[in-house]
Amino acid sequence: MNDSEEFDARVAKLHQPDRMVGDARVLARAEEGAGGVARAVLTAVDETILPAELTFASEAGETLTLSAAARRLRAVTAASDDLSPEEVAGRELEPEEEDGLHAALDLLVRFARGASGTVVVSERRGEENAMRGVSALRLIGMLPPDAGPVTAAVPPAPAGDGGGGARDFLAASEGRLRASMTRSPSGEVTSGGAEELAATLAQLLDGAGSDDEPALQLWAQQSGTPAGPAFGRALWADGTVLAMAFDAADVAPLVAAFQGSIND
Amino acid sequence: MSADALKVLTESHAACRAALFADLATSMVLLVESRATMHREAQQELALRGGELLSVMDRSAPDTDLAVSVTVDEVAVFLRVPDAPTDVLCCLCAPEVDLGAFAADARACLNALAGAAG
Repeated sequence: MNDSEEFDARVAKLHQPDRMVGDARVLARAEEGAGGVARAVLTAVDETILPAELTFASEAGETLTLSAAARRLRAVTAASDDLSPEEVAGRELEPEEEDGLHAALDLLVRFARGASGTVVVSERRGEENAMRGVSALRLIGMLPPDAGPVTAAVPPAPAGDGGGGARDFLAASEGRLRASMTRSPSGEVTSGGAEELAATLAQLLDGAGSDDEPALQLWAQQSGTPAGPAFGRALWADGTVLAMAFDAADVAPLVAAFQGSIND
Repeated sequence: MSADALKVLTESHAACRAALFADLATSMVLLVESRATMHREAQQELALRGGELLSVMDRSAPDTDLAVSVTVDEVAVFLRVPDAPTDVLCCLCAPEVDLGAFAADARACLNALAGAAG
């Protein structure tokens, strides 16, 4: 992209309305892949001129706070314990210290790989200080070419025959599914999300009846703290079957998403 | 009276068409609240359906205590007690039911009934 095109792209982006969740701006979606999420985080740094603390969060619950100014990443301020931030948190980033930069990028990639659903950023004013930091564009260039798959992405709906109801359902259920497995009317099986749930989802697919009436069944632990994910199985009139794993708290929204997919 | 819990549940959720409390160990329907007449066979069938659906995930998710079945014209909600899985509450609702609120109230209802019955 030459300078003129980049200018045009930035002006166009400035005119796009931001999607907000509370005080946080929607930055990316986990299904863009870990590389997409990591680039979106660094692009937010690149768009930061005045000193700011940027806190990134996804629906997986992990957060990452970066200190940024003048389009440069100055430091990783804090991150969820699950991301093992001890090595880098609170340390100033120096352009000459490649090891420190790679450690910060590794932390960013861990955040991106663990992301699910919507990734948002909230911003508060940062301190003026003497930290130089490192150019966000340089860091984008240092990202591994394949940052790897995210662990909990919504898989694509089956292509080809049928799948309209399933597509609508997946679109409406946003990032609520930890994993899913879909069997199209022609028998093609596609899956996505947490691999350790695949065996259970396959059993659910195998147990699906051949009824041609649309139906949804969900199973969840309602009492106490759920020990594991909730499960569900949906069947549409065209024969598409979808088995899914999700958080028990999402029973009601998934029922609404299914009802929307069969009533449209 | 604990039995009133079932009446309160159906009266406070207009979309709830019928609810029953059953003991699957003895295959007995202990209490029924229904807006329309519900014959004994239909009650037994609903209780069995609830027991079967609740047990589908017993191997891979044994802590399951809520099962929901949705079709075009119905939302069926089944609950069991973690400590006494043969005590089940089976509810038939219209599609427009506020499921989050209903499921929470149904759990409180079942806890009251199971506590009194146990």
